Amino acid sequence: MKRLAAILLLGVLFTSCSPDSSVFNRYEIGGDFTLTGMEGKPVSLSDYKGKLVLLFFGYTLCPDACPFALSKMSGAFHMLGAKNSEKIQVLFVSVDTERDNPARLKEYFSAFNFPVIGLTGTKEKVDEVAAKYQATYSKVESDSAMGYLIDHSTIIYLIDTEGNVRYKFRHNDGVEIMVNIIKTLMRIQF
Amino acid sequence: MKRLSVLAVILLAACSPKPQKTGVEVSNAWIKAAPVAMKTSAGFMVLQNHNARPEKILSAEFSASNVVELHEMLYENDMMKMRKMDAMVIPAKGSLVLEPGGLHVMFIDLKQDLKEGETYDITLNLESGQKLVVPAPVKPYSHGGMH
Repeated sequence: MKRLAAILLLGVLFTSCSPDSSVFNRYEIGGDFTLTGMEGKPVSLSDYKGKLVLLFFGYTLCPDACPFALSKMSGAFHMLGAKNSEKIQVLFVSVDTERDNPARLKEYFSAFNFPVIGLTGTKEKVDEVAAKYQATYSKVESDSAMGYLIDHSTIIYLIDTEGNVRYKFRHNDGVEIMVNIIKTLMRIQF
Repeated sequence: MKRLSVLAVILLAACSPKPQKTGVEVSNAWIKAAPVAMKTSAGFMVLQNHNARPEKILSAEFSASNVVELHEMLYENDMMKMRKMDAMVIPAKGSLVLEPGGLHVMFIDLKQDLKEGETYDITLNLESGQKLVVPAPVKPYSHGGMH
């Protein structure tokens, strides 16, 4: 009985915490872009029109922020379930244009069990996309065995079915927040 | 009689003041699970320094990667920055926390998959000359808010 009450309470809390559509802003950033996918072929954001897209900028040697963001996305997919997950595509733009190539991205993402495509391109192309989304990164020379390190922004962009940025998840936003906001956008869009 | 003296020894031991802890104590050590394809991983732990003087971690050793470094992550204005450190200081009578998003022992160029359920030793070389061998289980990241 106690348990049932706890579950009910949790249910009420969860419902009352669910964001409504007012959480979504119209961002004056973003837009379509084309980079090179893991098969070496062009991939555009507009290829995913009709799906929600989670866009992230990072690099495969990134030790912490990127695996953390990816593990959050993996957790979100798990909580959203298979049916909802089919409506989402993750795009990961590598800001390490020297070390990450399609083959390396394919190797790296083979370890993940959700739909994620690693994207690369020339520095100019990647810079152009980063600028569109106001994502920043900078190469930092280091005496680390990794050679150089890259400081980069950690925003995960939630993009709607029409290619508009609708939410920016920050590093500290937990999986539940991501799931709630994705579900809210799904209710509006599907 | 013999029994009585054994009892006396036990009682005496129980009543004597606890010996002051010395040295560096480690708890909650763990390693982030990572397939070899990810190339990097990291080790985390809490270090407690019971000594009256600060202790320094000068370097670390790990058998499952070709390189081990001491690193720090800084999160500023939505930017994640990582820096290699020459040493980490554990304050006198204080603690140092190595955790995701902060300080960590960085494993570069993994030799093998680090799978959940496995345990590896992380060896810390301290300034005092001590080699601290820390057994650490491999765990996945706990997703934000899910723990």
